[in-house]
Amino acid sequence: MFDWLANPNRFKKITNKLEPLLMVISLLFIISGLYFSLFDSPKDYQQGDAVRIMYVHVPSAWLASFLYLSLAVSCIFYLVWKHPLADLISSSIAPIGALFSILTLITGSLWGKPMWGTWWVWDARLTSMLILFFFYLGFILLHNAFERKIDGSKSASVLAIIGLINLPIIKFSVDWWHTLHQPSSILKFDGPSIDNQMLIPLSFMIIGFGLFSLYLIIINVKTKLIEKKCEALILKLNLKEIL
Amino acid sequence: MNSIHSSWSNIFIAHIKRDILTNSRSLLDLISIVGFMILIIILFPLGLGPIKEKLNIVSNAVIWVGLILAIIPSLEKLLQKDFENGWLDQIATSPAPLEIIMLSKAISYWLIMLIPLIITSPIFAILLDMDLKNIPWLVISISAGSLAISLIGLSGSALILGARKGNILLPILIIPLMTPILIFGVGVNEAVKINESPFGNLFLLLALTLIYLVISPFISALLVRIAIGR
Amino acid sequence: MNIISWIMEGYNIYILPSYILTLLCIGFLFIRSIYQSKKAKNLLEKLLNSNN
Repeated sequence: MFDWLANPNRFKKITNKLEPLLMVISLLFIISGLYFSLFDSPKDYQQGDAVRIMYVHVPSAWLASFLYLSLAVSCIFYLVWKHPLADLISSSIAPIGALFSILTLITGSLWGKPMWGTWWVWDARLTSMLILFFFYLGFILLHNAFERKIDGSKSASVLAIIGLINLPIIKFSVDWWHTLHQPSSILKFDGPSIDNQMLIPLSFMIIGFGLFSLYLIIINVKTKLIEKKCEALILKLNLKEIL
Repeated sequence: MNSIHSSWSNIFIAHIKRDILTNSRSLLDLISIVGFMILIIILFPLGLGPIKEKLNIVSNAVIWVGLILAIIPSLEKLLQKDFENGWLDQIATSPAPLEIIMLSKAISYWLIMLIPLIITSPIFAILLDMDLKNIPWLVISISAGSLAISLIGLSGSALILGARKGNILLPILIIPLMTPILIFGVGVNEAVKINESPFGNLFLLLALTLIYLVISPFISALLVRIAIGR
Repeated sequence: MNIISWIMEGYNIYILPSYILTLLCIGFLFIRSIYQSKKAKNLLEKLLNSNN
């Protein structure tokens, strides 16, 4: 099935129809999520208004982890099956995921200061999220560190796969060690333990951010396809100076 | 008639011997890595002030952090020289699998660079005002962790093989990979300091070493094949 | 005046920067993507035109 999607022209045709739809739907989710989280959701029993930070902190955290998983899977496709679009997808995911991981740490700090009295604590979840950021950073730097792009792609893909070990640590760290960070409330075996009125804005924000990330990834892949075509044209026309 | 396995082990040992011979030509290299480690450690009393209690608290962490930082310069050169003069291309045609040869590289690196540091580690402990009774456990924990450091360092240097700006990149890649070793290694020493059992952390350290022993040769061999194929 | 007292009220001083920062980052990614896309399309057009 993925070979079918590998043809760049087919990819372009499908995504051209998908793009505006994705942008509109994701913006709708984000805007309504923002409305619900800022205005229409209840204050927390213990935390008051500050719980609203959860509606940006948790989506950022989930997306940072999920995008890393997608990154690693895409790299496996690239290394093993040599899927032509896989490398473009990986390098498009990386900046988005990196930004979300920093955002998770910053919004977490802003939430932690009023609630738990500290900007930072070196527990397993915060530290592994910081390490995730460094894996993203390492991927981006390694990708651009080689003379030929293909060398950078292969090396960075191996790095991304090595970093997969970090993801289970992030997910289960709050259950294995009881530290300052709150334990899991949503992805548990017996269903979410969070109130429905809070679950709705949270879901909207997660879906909205997720679809928007997908939209950004599609735009970036198409840009990279165009850049590839430009490079080929430059070589063909033997232009020594562009513009 | 030699079986395949005996010829593998012969090749393995031959590679270790060759690496040791080529890399320990100069006593200067040996001295410089220990010297670098001592310099890193000197920075801490200079920065903290020579107050015995302060140094005692941080001594375990400083030695481990210094260990990780001190090997970074030499890690860059681990595979690079052999890559540039074509030796890695030759190795790839050897009858023994590339994974075994990568394992031999990690072990020879451990023998050349890390054994001196293990042997001189009591000196570092004394410089940092560590309790003398904790020093044997320090040596044990560093011995247990240093092989893991060498293995994951090999993977790291294979990642940047042939990169333009590899030297700036290597610390950023290596240090996140080394954090579990650091955490468990210091955990052993801290447990000994407060008279608790260090065996939990020690076994985790050994488990990490075993895991890296298996995956690191495969990852490095894959990366070397990619690098040679350019 | 009203806005400033609203910002200082309760936890708003922590909540608002979080939201603003998040939206700014997403907006930055969006604008950067669109900008790179336009740049690449312009380059492609220029190359195709110079070919003809």
